Amino acid sequence: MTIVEDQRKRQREFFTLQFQKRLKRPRGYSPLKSSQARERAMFRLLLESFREGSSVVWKSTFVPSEIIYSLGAIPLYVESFSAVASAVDICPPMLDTSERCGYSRDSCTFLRAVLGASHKDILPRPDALVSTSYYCDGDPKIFDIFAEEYKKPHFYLHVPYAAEAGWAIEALAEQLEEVTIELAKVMGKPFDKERLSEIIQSSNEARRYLLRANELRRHVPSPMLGCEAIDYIASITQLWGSPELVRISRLLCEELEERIEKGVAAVDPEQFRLLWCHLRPYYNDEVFNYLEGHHKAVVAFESVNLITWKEMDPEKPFRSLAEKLLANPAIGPYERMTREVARMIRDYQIDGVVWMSPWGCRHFNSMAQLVKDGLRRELDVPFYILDLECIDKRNYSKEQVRTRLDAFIEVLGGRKEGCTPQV
Amino acid sequence: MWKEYLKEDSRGVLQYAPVDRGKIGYLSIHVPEEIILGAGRLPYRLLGRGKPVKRASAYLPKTFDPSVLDSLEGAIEGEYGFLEGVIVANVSDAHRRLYDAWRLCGTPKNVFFLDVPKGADALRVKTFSLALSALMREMETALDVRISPEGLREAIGLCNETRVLLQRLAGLRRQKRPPLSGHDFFDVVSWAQRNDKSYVNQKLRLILQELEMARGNGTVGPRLMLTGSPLGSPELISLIERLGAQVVCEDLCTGMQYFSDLVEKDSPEPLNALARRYLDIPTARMADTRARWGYLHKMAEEYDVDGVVYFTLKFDDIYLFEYPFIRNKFQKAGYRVLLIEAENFLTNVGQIETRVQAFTEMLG
Repeated sequence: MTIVEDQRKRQREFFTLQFQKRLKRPRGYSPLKSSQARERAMFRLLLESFREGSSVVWKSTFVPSEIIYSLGAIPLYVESFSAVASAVDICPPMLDTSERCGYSRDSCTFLRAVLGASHKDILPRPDALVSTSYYCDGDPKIFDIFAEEYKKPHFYLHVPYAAEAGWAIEALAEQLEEVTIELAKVMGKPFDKERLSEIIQSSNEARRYLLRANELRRHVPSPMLGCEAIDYIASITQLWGSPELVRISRLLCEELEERIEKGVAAVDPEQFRLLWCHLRPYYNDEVFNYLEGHHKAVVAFESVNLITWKEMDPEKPFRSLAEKLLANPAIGPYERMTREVARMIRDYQIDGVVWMSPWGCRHFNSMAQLVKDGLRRELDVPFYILDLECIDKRNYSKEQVRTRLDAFIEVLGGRKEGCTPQV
Repeated sequence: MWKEYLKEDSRGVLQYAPVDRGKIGYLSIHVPEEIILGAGRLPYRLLGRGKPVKRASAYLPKTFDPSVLDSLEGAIEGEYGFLEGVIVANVSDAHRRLYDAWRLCGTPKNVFFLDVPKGADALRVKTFSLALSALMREMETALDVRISPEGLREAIGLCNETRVLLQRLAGLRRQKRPPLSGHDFFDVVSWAQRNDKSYVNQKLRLILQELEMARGNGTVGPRLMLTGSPLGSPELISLIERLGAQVVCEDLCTGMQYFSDLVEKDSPEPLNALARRYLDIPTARMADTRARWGYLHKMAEEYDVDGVVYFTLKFDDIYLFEYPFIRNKFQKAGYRVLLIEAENFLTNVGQIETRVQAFTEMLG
């Protein structure tokens, strides 16, 4: 497989082929039309970013795509590139490359895969880079290193830890405005506030649909598989602000309503309802298939689909975007996350929580035990910390994972019969 | 003779430190000591215990910055019970979670948090000033004190003096045969971070008087620069120097970063002056890799080093991600680099010895 190809056109052809294969892959379920549209939109965005003349802004997880769309540029959420690469099975050589360059195997695989891909020059080249202080330490660091390597400017947003403090919103709004204006200079265009307001309206519209979809997913039995839903990553998707997200989320609502109306259950009979925290393994669907197909334990909701921000005011775009960023429960002390997990457990009538803990993810790993203990003080719900890698299939062991999931499901089963202690 | 000044009691506190003032612990050099002094307390840097952890693992994962796990273990075991409070700064993922875990299970119970941006431009300085102001208000309430601008200015003067004196001491290591070893220098900096600043300044002047007159008796082996993760003890430096090399400069938060720059003295807004200086410290956590490389390269040239030892603690992402970039830069500039990845106490001494020995032989 050629992934060291140096010409953009060849790379585009290569990725197109991989994505076509991916879209046609055999699945254990019939995907919703909205899910297929979402996949196509993501691939299109990536392919567009390879196109000659496209303006591409690399962004880390929480950089709001809205400001990038408002400048007519393509937001490339580079960690999602790792996820896509893992899904089309080109990640191992990217990780190998990063390791040969000296990056530790103990660190985040999302970032290492991007580092490897950058070294091989198979990424769409950036015109500018923007990172935030959240989720993790790695993002601003490697973005700055990329900026040096690509000789492009890197803008950094500090998201205040004290997310609920009065000064935090203004401090962040000011930075967002500054970054947007600087990006506009890089793109060689004046900043158009009206355009940003339109994009904010579009973002609001998608938010309303996705909130509705989240409400529909409270239905018992669940109308949608977690395996499918988790890929929406509604809290962080780079599609925020794009017209595609409005269409996709509207379609999702329609399809979920139809399923509920027709009495279609995603898992039949639905034995257990799970909450899945963190992302997923991107290299295969086995874990979800095993839980949802074999154990009939539907992943009724996922933390990455949680929408915590309020509707934005298009007249005050930067302040609104600052509020959106600060509403993320991953920012601040662990109690914020615990509170939201407890809310999801109640809202979705959850029987058990699976907290996925990849080896190299300091941010999420470190919160696992704290959230688990915090929840235990107010709710009696089994909480399972699953050590599992998102990107790197080299360490995946199907049987080991299955054995652990079997034990967890056994606990849930025992509780339904009223005889097993909590894990 | 000069080493007599560094003698401490069993808790690492000099008897000359006034006994009527409480101590506030801090872990990161991005925490302004001046605020602690302004609150009428003594700043006390937590440098770790250097022992395996047991109970901390019940709260935080094992795949975590070992120096943070070590600090938490100390907090759980009550080893910092003599402190009136502790300030945890937002310098890494690990420190953010340390703040959470410490509040749950550690002592002292007064745990303050300071948010620290990773940039030093105008908006980030403004944000940091707001965070410093929030910290001050929190400390004022918890400790029932008032931190005045005058108090801050006085503290700035005191701390600047310490910095200037330490800079002079570090400058002596540029000599062909430095009058003090890397190990000794590490001890002086650690001591300065845990004691009353007036006393430290007084003794530093005496130390300088003696060492500026002394003829260097240091080794003539390769001159090394040490950079990377925080070191809580001089164990690694001793090991390197035992093998015939000399650590002549160190880009460590427990080394020369501590006194890298001065705070603007007579600023009408002392808090802003503090914010600027404490964001200007060129630690690896800051998102300005170009400035950091410039700082490292300048240090390597000024101290005329033959090679660089890059130390990273296991799971310390900031350094794990930075290492290949900095290594490449050093190599392009003609320096050889040795990477050492270890726990916060040396467990694999034999292996490290062999590698350091091979490295120094190569440089020789």
